[in-house]
Amino acid sequence: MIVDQQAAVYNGFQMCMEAVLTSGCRHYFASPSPMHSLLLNEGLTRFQSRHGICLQTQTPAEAVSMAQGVAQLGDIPFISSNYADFLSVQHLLYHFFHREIPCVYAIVLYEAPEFPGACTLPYGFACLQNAWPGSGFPFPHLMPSHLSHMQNNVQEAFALARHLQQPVLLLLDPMLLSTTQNVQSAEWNPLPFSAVEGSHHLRRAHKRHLELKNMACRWLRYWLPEQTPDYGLVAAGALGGWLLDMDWHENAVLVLDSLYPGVLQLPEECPSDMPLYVIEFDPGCLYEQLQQQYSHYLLHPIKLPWERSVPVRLQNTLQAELIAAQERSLQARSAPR
Amino acid sequence: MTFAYCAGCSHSQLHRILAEVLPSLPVSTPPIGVSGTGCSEQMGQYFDIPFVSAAAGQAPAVAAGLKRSRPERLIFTYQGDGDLAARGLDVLMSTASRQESITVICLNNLVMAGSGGQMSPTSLTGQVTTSTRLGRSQSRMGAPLKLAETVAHFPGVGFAQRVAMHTPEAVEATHQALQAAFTFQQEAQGVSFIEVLGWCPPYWDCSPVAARQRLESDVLRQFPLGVFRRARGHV
Repeated sequence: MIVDQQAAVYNGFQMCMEAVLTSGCRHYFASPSPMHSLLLNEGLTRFQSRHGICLQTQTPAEAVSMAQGVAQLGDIPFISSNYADFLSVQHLLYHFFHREIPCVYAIVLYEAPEFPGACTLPYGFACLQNAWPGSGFPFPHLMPSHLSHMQNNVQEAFALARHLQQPVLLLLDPMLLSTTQNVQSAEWNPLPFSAVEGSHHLRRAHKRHLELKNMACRWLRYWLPEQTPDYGLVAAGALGGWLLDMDWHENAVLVLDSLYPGVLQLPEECPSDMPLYVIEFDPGCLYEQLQQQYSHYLLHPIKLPWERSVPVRLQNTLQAELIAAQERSLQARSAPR
Repeated sequence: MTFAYCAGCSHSQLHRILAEVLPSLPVSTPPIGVSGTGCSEQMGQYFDIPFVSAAAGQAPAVAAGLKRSRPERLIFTYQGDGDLAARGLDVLMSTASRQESITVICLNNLVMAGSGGQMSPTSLTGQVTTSTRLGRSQSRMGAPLKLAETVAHFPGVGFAQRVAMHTPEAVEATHQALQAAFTFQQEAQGVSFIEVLGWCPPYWDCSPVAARQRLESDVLRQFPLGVFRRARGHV
């Protein structure tokens, strides 16, 4: 375990690298890019002290190719980049899917909080909700919302990659990476995997998809009040972690750890027609993504403007936004068609 | 053995030379090969050694990853001129600048044969290809890239040589060059690079015999054989 029965203070970058190393990874390749480089810097220090190989490559494509070399010999390498670089090397990841080579790829989702519009999900993530284009293979991805949880997610990502023999993505919220939190040594339950059999790769891909869909419920964390909640708040990334940390008595808080199909299954205690407010920083597209995937739920968007002081007065801001959103939906209902 | 290559292809000849060189290397475990894209991609099926195929141009980076993971193994890439010079020269340069001890073998047949005979960076001035019907124009398409000379100038390259296979003497020289390249790798002297001049009868639009003659009369004039870097101890 990372810490022995007691809490320790970690920065997000430190926690990520520490969890990667304790997952047994010994090879890390990355090319510097804005914000994400802090992860690389942390890796360069920590891997060296643990006799691992961490290498700064000239391009993201080179990082992916070097990882391919390592993975072909049986190790599971760790790669990281920001989202723009990930888009530029997707064609190389195809080789990983096609040849069933495992790796864990961490994507730092956006720029630093100092940049305007530091939202967790600024781009469309349709690719994450479908199989990898052209291969038919499912595309598991995990998105931690607390540092304790990052530890579990990283271990889970390596276990998934080892089992499925394919890349697994870690979506890292830059706000979470730059946060310092107490990390409790959490219990991590190994994944309930059955052996993947079959020779036809599309059949295997389908089986993997069913298996992941069955365990999708693991990737929703929630807090419920004692009474039946009137409405629920849905969030992801660091914002989700902050919502869970609040002592909020009236409503349910649902935090997504993945956008994999089937993740958003309401707990039994929640009425199925409960309004769900999707909270994110502007200009995020989490609401649009969820609306496409879960059209049977009553989803409403709440887009918060990003300011440095947002985490400090988040509860007040949210309450004001919730009242405004409820008024808007009332007006929409009463308006003549 | 029957090759999938076209009649008279120089890949099959280089395969034979490699099949003689690889078992003679003083190593207990077989080397690991990394093939690029194009015609060279087929090499793995003819050798009973571990083979990895890489994305276009990425073979040196994949080989570097293999070497970092298993430094005791001999690692080599087998690429064509289109894969190495057009798609992946930057990858080779980055790999060389980190002084990765791998062997890079490039069969330079002056065309992108795998994709249909288009002009490659090493195509001769005036050479007719499927994408330069009137011959390569130096003013429009630039001058041919001299691979071995260029790579020899990259920092971290310990050995760079250009060889050919059109005569028995040239074949023997290729044998020795490949052995020297693997020796440089064993001594951890950085990238050892071998450019083997080959031919491509279908896309040179001539018979295999005429292709060899053309190599001697035209190609060697622009791409002279020789050792362009042989420097130990710089790593």
